Amino acid sequence: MLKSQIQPTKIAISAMGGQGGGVLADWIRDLATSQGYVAQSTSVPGVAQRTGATIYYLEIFPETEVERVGRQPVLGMTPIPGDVDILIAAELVEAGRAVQRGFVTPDKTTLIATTHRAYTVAEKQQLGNGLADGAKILEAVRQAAKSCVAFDMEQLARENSSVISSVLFGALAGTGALPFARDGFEAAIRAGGIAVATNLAAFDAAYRRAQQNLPDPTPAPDDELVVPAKAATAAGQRLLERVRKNFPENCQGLICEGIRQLVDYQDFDYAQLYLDRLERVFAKENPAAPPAATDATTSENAVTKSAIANSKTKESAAAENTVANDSSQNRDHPNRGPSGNHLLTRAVARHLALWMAFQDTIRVADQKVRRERFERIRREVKAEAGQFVYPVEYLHPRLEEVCDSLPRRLGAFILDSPRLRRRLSGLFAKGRRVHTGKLGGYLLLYTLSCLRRLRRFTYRYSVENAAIEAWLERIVTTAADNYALALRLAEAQRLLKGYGDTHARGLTRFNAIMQLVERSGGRVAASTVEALCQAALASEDGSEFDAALAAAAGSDKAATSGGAVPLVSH
Amino acid sequence: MAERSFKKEVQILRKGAGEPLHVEGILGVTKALLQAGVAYVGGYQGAPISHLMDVLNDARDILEDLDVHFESNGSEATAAAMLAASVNYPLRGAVAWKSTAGTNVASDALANLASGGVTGGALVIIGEDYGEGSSIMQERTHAFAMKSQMWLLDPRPDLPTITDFVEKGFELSEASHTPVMLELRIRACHVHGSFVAKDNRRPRLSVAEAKEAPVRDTSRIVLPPSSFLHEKEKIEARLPAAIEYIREQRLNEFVEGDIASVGLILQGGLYNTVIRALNLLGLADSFGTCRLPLYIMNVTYPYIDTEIIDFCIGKEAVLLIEEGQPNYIEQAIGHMLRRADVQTRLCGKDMLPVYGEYHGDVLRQGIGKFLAAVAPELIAPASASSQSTDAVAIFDPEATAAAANRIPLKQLEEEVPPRPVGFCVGCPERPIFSAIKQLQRKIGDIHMSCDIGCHVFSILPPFNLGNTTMGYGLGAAGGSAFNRKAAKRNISVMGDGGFWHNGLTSGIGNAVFNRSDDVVLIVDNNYSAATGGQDILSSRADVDHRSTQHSIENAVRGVGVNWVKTVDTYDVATVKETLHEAMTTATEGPKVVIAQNECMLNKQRREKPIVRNHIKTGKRVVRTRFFVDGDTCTGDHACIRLSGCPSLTVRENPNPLKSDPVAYVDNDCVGCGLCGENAHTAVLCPSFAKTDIIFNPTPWDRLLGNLRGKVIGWLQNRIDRRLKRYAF
Repeated sequence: MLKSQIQPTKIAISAMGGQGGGVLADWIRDLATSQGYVAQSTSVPGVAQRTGATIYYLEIFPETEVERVGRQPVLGMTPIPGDVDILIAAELVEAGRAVQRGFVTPDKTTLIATTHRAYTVAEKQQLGNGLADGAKILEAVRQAAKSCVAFDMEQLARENSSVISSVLFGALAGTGALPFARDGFEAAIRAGGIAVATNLAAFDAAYRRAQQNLPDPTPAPDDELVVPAKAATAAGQRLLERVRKNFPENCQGLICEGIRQLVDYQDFDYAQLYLDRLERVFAKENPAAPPAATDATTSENAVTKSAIANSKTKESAAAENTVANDSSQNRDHPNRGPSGNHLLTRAVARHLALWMAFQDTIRVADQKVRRERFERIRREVKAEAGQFVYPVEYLHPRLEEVCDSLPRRLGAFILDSPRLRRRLSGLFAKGRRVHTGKLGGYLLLYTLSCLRRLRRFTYRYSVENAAIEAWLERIVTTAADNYALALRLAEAQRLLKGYGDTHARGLTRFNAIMQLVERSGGRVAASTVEALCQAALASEDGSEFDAALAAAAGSDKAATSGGAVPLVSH
Repeated sequence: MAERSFKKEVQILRKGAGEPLHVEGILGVTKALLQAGVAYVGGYQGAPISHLMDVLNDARDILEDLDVHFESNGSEATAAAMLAASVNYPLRGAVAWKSTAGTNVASDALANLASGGVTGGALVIIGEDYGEGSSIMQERTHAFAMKSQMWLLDPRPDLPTITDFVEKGFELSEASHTPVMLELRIRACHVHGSFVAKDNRRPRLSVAEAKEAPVRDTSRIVLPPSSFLHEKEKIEARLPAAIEYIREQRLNEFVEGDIASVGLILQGGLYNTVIRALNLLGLADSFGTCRLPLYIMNVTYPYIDTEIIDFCIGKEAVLLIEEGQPNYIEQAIGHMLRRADVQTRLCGKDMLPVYGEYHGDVLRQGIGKFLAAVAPELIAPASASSQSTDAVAIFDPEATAAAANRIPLKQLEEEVPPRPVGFCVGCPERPIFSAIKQLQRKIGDIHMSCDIGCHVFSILPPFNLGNTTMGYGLGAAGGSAFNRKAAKRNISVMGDGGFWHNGLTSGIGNAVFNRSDDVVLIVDNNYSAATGGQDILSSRADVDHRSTQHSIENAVRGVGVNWVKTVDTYDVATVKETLHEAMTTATEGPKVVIAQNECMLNKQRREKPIVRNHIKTGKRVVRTRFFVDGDTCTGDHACIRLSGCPSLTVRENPNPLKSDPVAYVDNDCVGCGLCGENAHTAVLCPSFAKTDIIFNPTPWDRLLGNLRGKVIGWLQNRIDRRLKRYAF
């Protein structure tokens, strides 16, 4: 007795509040209505939508069938899992969420998704890297859909000075998932009457892109850390030759990057000091081999930027293994990583370079006055050629930062005197706005940046370099009988970052870990140090870290008294 | 000025008989009110009925032409009380609000109105904020209808039915002398569909005419002995009259089916979803032709016992589809069937979830379960053919994934972060909570009593501030028990919307009278922003048909607060200092801090076109936005933990040796300045910079700019030469 077999076409738009999903829904509705379809759309506006995840839903139904049956169709109000024909996602995580909710299924759903990310507060607020793995989400949503058009639609919108709605609409047209010709889509945009020219341009670009259905281009390989064939200067060449001669190939890319940054930071001598320090570590890691470059043969010689940048890199994974096999590895090669990976040298190469380029006021000034930075600002704020752009820096040098850049004895004298500190800190209690685009502000920072030549005499330099030496010494001594621990100690440098409170917080936790190692006489498990580092990055208030530290210190005592109990933290 | 302008849409309100209209549900209701000859309209904004208020605000000419009075009421209680005009006069009146939040507020007036009854039709348009997208506690308006004996309409969610029920609602109200509630679910308010217009009707009697010829009837006033008579009247006269009207007009619908042994009883508002569920089960087509008989309750209170019993007789089982809890209708029908000794099995919440929205998937599963239990033959033979198996298959993402063997749901589970609502880009409320978060570092955690409004997002990351929220305008009231001497004061938050709604008396007045020593923070952003940016008493704008610019500070002083300070929300240091002072001052009595700045959504909407125009016409404009130096940024994200602004985001670290993403300000930045304020007050890293971009520079700008460019460029050449010497 049922009168019709025709189903409506069901379309869901998964977006964030304020992204313009409503505009897109309106276009689709107007389009369908103009093409002889009954159309219904629903949404959830209001405070529930402010910047959060939201869903717009449409159903369209052919008028021809309506005329045949002689009644109006009953159209649905919400998407039903497993019963969505077209899912349009205006952000990648929202595409993932739609798949999770069952709105994308392999039997019927055409998925149109942008691959760009708008990071959530949950991801952004982490003390380190808390970002979701977009590649994994993309892979999953591609597999979930019957067919999928996915590319960076935000970028395409920007390139056309338009909004993502037009690109999504163009991609929808390009997939051919709706039974309407292209000019119908364009008419809907025209009927909207707002920013028609740019919207149509974006629509056109997206239409073509969707028809070709090309994925995003894979990132260009220019971010590999490669060893330059030749240095730009003679002094640089001497450094390069030293690297080639004394370090295995799989370390050279990293070390060259370290050198590049330290020369930029200070000078060639400073980079030589970096290599001096690094050689001490490498000698421990590779005591049998002569200091020659031929030693390393088993590993890749170029390390990609992303491999380094990702906290779950091959190196970390290998380190994980090292830790897991603490005892067995150590029995065979007490001071070596698995299969000549030179994990320790590489870790130190990276973290030593970062530490040696500590951010003092001189460095900050140096970074602020460069031409390249002025150009970057212009690019980011989309300034037109010749347009005047004036940056205003928000700086807050406290007494501590000022003393950092004073001569060593003077800085120490002030900081060690509670009375002087009290008196002087009043002078630096307020933040300052420095107009680097104007002469006064620029000259101030320029002059400050020129103090680089005197950096070696500053208080901060002496403090940092003493700490670096202590840290290196600990790594070198530990490496002899606990390679995994040495590696973790090297990586613990990642806690040292920032300025002011952030820096103080990281330093306190770093020192606490080092003291724990010191007290235990190097008998702390590598995994404990790693767990402590993670706890240190878990929150600002440090509750996780304090708990982990107390637990580690407790088992430390047990270990000392009980003898051979390994220190393993959860 | 509301968040959305309806200047274009209001023209729809002028359309005459026979014209097809393509509109949003709530706009259809607005048009239907005019078609029904309404004499006055009121209400209090709040999703999902805000647009009704916004449209009427933008439709003053049309309302004037028709002699219809419209008020933006001070609260839902005001709106409900306004219906008093229909008690003595044959005036049709309608009010609207978000429910149950608004019905709670209105229930004093509603109870009095329902007791005495009405002469003219009184219609309450209820935006039932339940289920996905809701922003309030999950309750049913049904209880209010039952307790006050008001009738509750829950029509099928298509525009012809909804608009028809506006007219029917007035008639029912007049026929039974009872106020009527028209309940619309969230998506029904915002459903875009079409219906055919009728001509607008002027009210038979205008409000002014009624006022000029007063009528008085003491029997309508809630005072003994009339109040006792009202109760008798409700049961003996008004209820039977209502039942008769509902039966006669066939407000509830019967749909025949070829299967006689089982049937479904459903709330009208769920009709479309039920049909879709039946469609997926192979038991209905896209036009609502259905194999199972249906009884559609477009009126969910009162119940028409005879209709229900008639429907049940002769059936083995019926399934009642009733959304929300408690299951009032199910209880009532069970009772009816027992009384009438009808042996039909009644199923309901045993087959369907007890609580939560009944969306399509829930209904598909529930109806499937019901049929499997009472009429398995409807499903059993189906499993033979593959198509029908599909029809009864209940969607289970895990199962589908396993069957398709290729949706890596687990992978998604690990990677997809939640995305709750939050403050918009540049929101003036965010800096207040940045300041409080910093203040907590100084004086320890603070107990905070929150309110309803955007400011309640303070409870979410990254702020994590606030302990309770007790209702609109009740922030200060919610903190009142803590009015005891203690080492630390508490802070109660209240928005300007909530303040005028009731907070001035329930919160501030109460605190003064009870000699509270605590702190009240009033967030004044010029609008009732959370509901869509409607104007209120303290709005700064000149609104031609309303009286605005009434100072909150004066009102607070007027009820006896001596310690009041008004601060600019974006001035984090001052907000922090002022709150610290309020927390520690020796002055007795409540301490009120008013944090003032305009809602950025509204401000941008107003200013963006002006700025664009200035740029076009050659006027000098300085655009401001923020910028983060990726090289200097530490990747610690302390700035984000103090802000949470959507445009303060992260991107890959430019330094290949570093792994933590660095902060980055995207092009949505409106240059509110909070990033810089936080960088200063919390001593964050020196990576933040404000950039002023000059459009249409003056000759002086050019002279200075070129001079600066020359000198700076010369120095940068020096730097470049050095960098060349020191290249690797």
